[in-house]
Amino acid sequence: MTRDKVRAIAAQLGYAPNASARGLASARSYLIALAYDNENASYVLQLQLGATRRCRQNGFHLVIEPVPSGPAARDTIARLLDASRLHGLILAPPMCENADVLDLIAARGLPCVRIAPLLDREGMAAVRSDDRGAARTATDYLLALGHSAIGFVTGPPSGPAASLRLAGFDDAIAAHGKPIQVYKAQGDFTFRAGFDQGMALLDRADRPSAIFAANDEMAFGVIAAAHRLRLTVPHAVSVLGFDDSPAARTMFPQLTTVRQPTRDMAAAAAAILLNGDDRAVERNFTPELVVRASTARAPAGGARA
Amino acid sequence: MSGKRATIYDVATAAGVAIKTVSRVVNKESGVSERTRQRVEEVIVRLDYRPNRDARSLASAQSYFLALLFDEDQPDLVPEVQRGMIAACREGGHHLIAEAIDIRSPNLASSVQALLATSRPDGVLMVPPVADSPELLALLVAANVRHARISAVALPGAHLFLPLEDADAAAAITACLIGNGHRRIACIRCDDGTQAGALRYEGFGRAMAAAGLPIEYTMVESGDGSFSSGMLAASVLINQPAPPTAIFASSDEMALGVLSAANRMRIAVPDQLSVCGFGDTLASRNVWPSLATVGQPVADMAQHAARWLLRAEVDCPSFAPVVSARDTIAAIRFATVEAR
Repeated sequence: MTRDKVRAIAAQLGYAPNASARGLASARSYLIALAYDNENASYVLQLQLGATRRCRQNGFHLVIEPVPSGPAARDTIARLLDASRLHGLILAPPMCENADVLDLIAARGLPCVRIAPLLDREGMAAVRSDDRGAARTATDYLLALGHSAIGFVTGPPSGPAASLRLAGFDDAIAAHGKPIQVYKAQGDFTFRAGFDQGMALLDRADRPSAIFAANDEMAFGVIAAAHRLRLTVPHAVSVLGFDDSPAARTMFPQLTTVRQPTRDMAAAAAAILLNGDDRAVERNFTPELVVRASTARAPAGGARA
Repeated sequence: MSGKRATIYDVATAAGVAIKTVSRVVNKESGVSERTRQRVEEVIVRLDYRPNRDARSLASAQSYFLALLFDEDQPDLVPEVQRGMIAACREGGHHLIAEAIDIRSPNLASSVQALLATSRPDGVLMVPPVADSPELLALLVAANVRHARISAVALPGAHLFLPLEDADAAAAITACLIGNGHRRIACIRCDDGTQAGALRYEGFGRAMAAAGLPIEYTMVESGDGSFSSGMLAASVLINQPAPPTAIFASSDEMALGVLSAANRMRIAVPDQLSVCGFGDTLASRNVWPSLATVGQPVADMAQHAARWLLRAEVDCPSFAPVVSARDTIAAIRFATVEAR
């Protein structure tokens, strides 16, 4: 009764509560922050889109905070926490492993969800995807196409995603009955690295008939290298990526890849904070293989077509 | 972190002054003696007292937030725009709210009103297609929220308008093709219902006219900006008796569709066909051959706009389009071989 009366008067006066004032009074705000030190602009954008869409349902908004990698991260996060009374914080990889940042957040008692962390942290929520299992599934697919000489371009050694994807690749090769010729090349998730390693792997007589790149951008680089060497994808060489970034559909040929549920993961992270059940909650997603036009049966007569 | 954070009461007690005096020092107001000010500042440092931004913003009517409004389905410019805005925010201790909205939603106005009401951003920047909504602009004007638009389209009443020179940019990349000896240049228009598409076609026409080149109707196709529409348009353009030697697609995505179609038809780019796009998107760099395109310095524009929103003293520079010629444009060699 009283509530209705207040609402009616508020509507009449055009009164809307101020987030800062509301924050003071209720120790809550309508702001969630996403902090990241990730260089992949397309990945960060997908996180933002997933989180904002979920926030919108509850009338919340998303503050974005790019943070420097390494020791300086802590100070940047501290300034953000001082400046705004956040409802909660989402930490993107690889920063979600930064112990200084996690200590700070724990000390402030701020609800926090980590996206795709490698290591567990007592009492902190996490949203994960099974990159290892998905990389294994994708490698099994190449093996089922009859490829017996397969290259793998890795991500940066420090990143959690890179090591999980490599482990999944190794799992599949180890579990396969027949011996497989494996070529591993060190990449860093950039187009340039994919191109350079693609040239190195393909410009040789005993080249692999399939290359699995640990992310899409490197897979685009591998395709570029194949084009340059006049090797047709997928008939001379199959190329497989990981991410399913928007550009995977605007490549020639369209890229076979593993769909990262990045938007869904960010939305799940926001939902955990909005529901207020951030203590040691864990949500798991399974990336799926998306077969498009960049993979085909191994050329007859083995790898050397 | 050790223990509780110091409050204004702790500072006042330790310095032996009234709370109001601490507040005056923090807010750099007058009416405090130099000795007292020094004593209070020492205590502030010693106790690591940090004034609560919420309380400060209530008093000064500042929220220390800027907001960026963009459409969730067309975020091409967003990473660069955010980069520029964040740089400006960092200068003054501001933070950025990334507000992805659905431009087609019937609740658009009320959701933006809610953002303004609950977060009270100190300024709002809009990028296309959100920036081109007269309804949202009217809403911001009525709410008296300081705002800026980055767009190819002028709308009356906006506080700050930073124009994307789409016509100039299209003319510049077309001139680049002409400069490489191309005469039979086709254009894939972007008929996505925005004025930007029309401006790009206008720029193409301007450059062709300046070089005295005719635009034949068989050299113009339409797309909707998407990859598949670019592929379709390219196959029509290429499959005619006298195909073009160069194609200007008025979006990068359509240009990538052209590359894909050419690849399928075994037409070598750039040896047999030069291709250029529009937008300088990330994908244009991640193909081989890398796509020639034209972009706008949107990060600089966004930084400028954010500084202006924060009421910093800024002069208004002009922002010229940037042509990236890259690998999909080749010079026509035989074009110069003429009978003497």
